[in-house]
Amino acid sequence: MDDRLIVQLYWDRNESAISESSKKYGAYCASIARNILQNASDAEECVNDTWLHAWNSMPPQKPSVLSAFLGRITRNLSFDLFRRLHREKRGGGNIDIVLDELAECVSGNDDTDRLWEEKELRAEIDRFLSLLPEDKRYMFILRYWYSDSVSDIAKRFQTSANNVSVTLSRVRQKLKTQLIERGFDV
Amino acid sequence: MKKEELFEVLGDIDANSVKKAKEYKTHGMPAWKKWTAIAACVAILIGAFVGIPALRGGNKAEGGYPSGLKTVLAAYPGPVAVKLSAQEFMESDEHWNWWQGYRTKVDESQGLQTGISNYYTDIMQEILITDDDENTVCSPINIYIAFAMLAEVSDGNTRQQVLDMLGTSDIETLRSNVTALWESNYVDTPVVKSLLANSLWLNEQYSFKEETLNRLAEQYYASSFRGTPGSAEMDEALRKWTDENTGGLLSEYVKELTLAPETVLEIMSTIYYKAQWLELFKTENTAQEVFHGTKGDSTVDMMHRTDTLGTYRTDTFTSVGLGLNDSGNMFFILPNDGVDVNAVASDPAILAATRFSEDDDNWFVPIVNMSIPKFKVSSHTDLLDIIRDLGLTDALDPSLADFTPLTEDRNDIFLSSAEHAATVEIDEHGVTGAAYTALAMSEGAAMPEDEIDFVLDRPFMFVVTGRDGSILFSGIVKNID
Repeated sequence: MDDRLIVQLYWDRNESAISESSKKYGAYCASIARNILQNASDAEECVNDTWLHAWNSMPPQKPSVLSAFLGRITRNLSFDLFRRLHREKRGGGNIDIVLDELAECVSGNDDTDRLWEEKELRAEIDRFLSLLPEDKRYMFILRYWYSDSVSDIAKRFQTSANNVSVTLSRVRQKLKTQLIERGFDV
Repeated sequence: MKKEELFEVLGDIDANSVKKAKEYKTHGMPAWKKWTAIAACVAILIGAFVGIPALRGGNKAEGGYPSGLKTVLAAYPGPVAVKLSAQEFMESDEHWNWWQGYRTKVDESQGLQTGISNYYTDIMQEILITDDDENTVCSPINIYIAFAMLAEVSDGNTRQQVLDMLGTSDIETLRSNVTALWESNYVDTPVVKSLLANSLWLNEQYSFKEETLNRLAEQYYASSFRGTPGSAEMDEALRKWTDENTGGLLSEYVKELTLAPETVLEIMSTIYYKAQWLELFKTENTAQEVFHGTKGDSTVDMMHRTDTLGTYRTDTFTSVGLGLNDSGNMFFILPNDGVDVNAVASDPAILAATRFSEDDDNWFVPIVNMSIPKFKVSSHTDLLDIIRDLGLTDALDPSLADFTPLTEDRNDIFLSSAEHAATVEIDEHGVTGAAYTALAMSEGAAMPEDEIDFVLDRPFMFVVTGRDGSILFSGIVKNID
């Protein structure tokens, strides 16, 4: 079904919105959840919660990109759950590696006294990404938005895993330098 | 900041990029065959009333030019990764390294674009708007660089008028503008060709000031040729050089090029541009459809694609920009029903439509069902009347023109001719009219705000920008043969 029609179903408070979302984006959201959570049943729980959250947010929201809108809900829910579970044990799973990579871009300190707004940081990151060559930008998003594994990304880009790792490492380095240059001492 | 917080912040990045990341496919070879091939040149002729025989003889030939000409070819920046195919290049470290350097140059030139806006608007209005049925096309950046060179060889009020036309306060600013424009628009990689070139055609009877010639050679990468204007040898060399630097795309005009015997100097400036669509049109979606030109209907190859795209809409026009790999964008500007395309071309909002400014309410992001005709447009323009309209008058008058930085051999040197030729073609290789698929219309209903049909089946305007926002080419298409 067309995305606009699905959104319209949410707006009409028609419950088939949920089954249509699940049919079209169930697998998409599940892959996002599984990249963050190692446990299949945890992932499934987050995907199911996604539809409920979507139901509660539309209306008033009217997303122009439904896939990313739903995916973002799944990503947030999964990451929340990951953090709750993570207090007890450290897994060394995919998401731990993703986070460790991201740790290269930040100080790791509490920055409660920071001088910038999170909104400004997001805009700066968007700007940084928009200036990257398309292939590098999408590699970065697949890794740090979708938490896709390096080998999956390599397959998609028809290149070696090593090449992807090297590219991602350079982009992270560049992101860090750029953020600092722009006054975001993250 | 903690890594978990960064992970959360990243969750809020631009939704369109997130969607595109999953859809992104490494381009296979067919994608590289979609080219936008474009070229333009400007010839500015500086002549004197009568010729006087004088000094200097021929020298050795270089680059296959006749031995009677004293030739000094400029050394252009070398191509990047010559041995790689476009696809190999995109995946290589060389692309990364090139990109990092290139981005800095683009940032620098981007900042200048606002200062050049008035020039862009003026020159496009003057050249593109005509009363007849002819298509018009020009390269604003090409004309800018040629006239910057004219500023270098002139002085006093003659120079000031050139600076005014280019919207620059002084020659130093102009020089740094040209350097920045050149750096961000001279690109020679397996993916993008954006090749700028300049040359000087000098009458060997005169003694020219070395300082000026050196500056043109170094800062403008101008090759120089000294010989006897009016000779077959020099005319042939001029045509050969111009053809080589425009990829032969302008041969219909180039074959008419000649140098009059009274020429003191001709400045020839060229641009050749070739880039690929970021996302291609599928050949099986191309269909023969009707274009309603000003001279009547014609059948054209209409390309189709549906995508979510930044769209700029005003009361008079709708504009959609298609990205070009590693380069800028090509904007298609369709006048709203009942609006004349000439009225759109004189609308200052055109420039806003080519700059993605977030605080402009005319932007929205609908699903766009595009129908864009394949076309090739070429035109030849006499610039003399146009520059006169733009206030450049002293250079045209032998008694007022001041070309002393060039030579002091005579004082009656003036700008005797200025011509511009340009061509733009958008194409898909291997497509024939046999391919036939109807436009995929989506099921009706729901949120018309979010979806538009963008059908270029009547006269429209286009603007091709470089990565820095420079206007490389623009034109008005009234008819397609």
